[in-house]
Amino acid sequence: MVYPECLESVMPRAKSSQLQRMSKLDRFLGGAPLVGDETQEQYDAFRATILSQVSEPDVINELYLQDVVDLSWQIFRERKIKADVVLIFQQRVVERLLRTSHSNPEKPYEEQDQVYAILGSRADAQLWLGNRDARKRIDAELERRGFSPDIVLAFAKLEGRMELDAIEDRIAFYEARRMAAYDAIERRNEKAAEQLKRGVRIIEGECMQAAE
Amino acid sequence: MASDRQIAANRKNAKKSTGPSSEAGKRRSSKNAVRHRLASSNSRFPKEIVELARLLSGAPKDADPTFVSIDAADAQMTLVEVKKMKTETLGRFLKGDRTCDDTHQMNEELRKLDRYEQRALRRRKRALKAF
Repeated sequence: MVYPECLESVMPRAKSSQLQRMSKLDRFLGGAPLVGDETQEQYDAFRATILSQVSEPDVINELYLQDVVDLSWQIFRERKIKADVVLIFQQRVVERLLRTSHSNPEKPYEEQDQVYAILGSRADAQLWLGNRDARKRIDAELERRGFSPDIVLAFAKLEGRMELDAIEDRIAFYEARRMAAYDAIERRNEKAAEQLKRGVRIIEGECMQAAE
Repeated sequence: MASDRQIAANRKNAKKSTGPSSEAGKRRSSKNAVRHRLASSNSRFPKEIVELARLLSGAPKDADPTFVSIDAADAQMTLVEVKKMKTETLGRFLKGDRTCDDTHQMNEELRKLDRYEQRALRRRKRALKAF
């Protein structure tokens, strides 16, 4: 089970009354930042679960609480995007290796299958991405040519390092911002901040477990 | 180097390049380079900003909110805009087949938005400390 489905494991804790909280501020917080297959129900339940960690926050802490909700949501999402981006670069590496490496390196270059190199490698790389059986077959073929799945992954991470670093930077930025939000809440209500940190850690842990 | 005749011709031609002449054309071209209004010094949601400022400072409905609460509210509304734009960028990326170039474009767009987000965050943090 992957994000955002894994968030459903924390949903039962959210009561319907908690979904209605913070109504005064709601219109100044923007809508739910949903993309891809994320749903409003998942976001509302996630938000309510985090908000339920702090009882009766003042209006300033409500702002910071919303930050914690959105940042936690974005951290989950960025981790999923990072996994996606690794796959995108893996696909590119697979295509290149299929195009440029040959099952029989002893054969002269002119005798290698050029049509496959141009057209087939791209089609096979697409199959590698979307078809489990094709992936097994292509992985085995590449392994025969000296490129195990681990090597392909390593090449993909090398090629995509600029983009992966950018995602890592965003995750680090969101985590730092979330810490700053905890600190700001703590300045106004120490106990609430502690409860919140503990609660978010538990929710994240449960999501991680569910995802595994 | 251009001859005197060429220079004179260039000047004559340049006089024809006066941009749009109709009011609608002028309005449209004034927005040519606008991709978002995050860098604008004009507040985009004046009514909402005043309402939020009142809420933050606890001021009554008919009282003027403090400057610091208006600053905090304006920064908050900018953050909401940035959140919306980031969501749109990620939404475009997650829609359909994704390539390495799409990944690069998404990261670039998000990086540009980060600048506005950080500026607004600093402003909001500074203002909210006053409460």
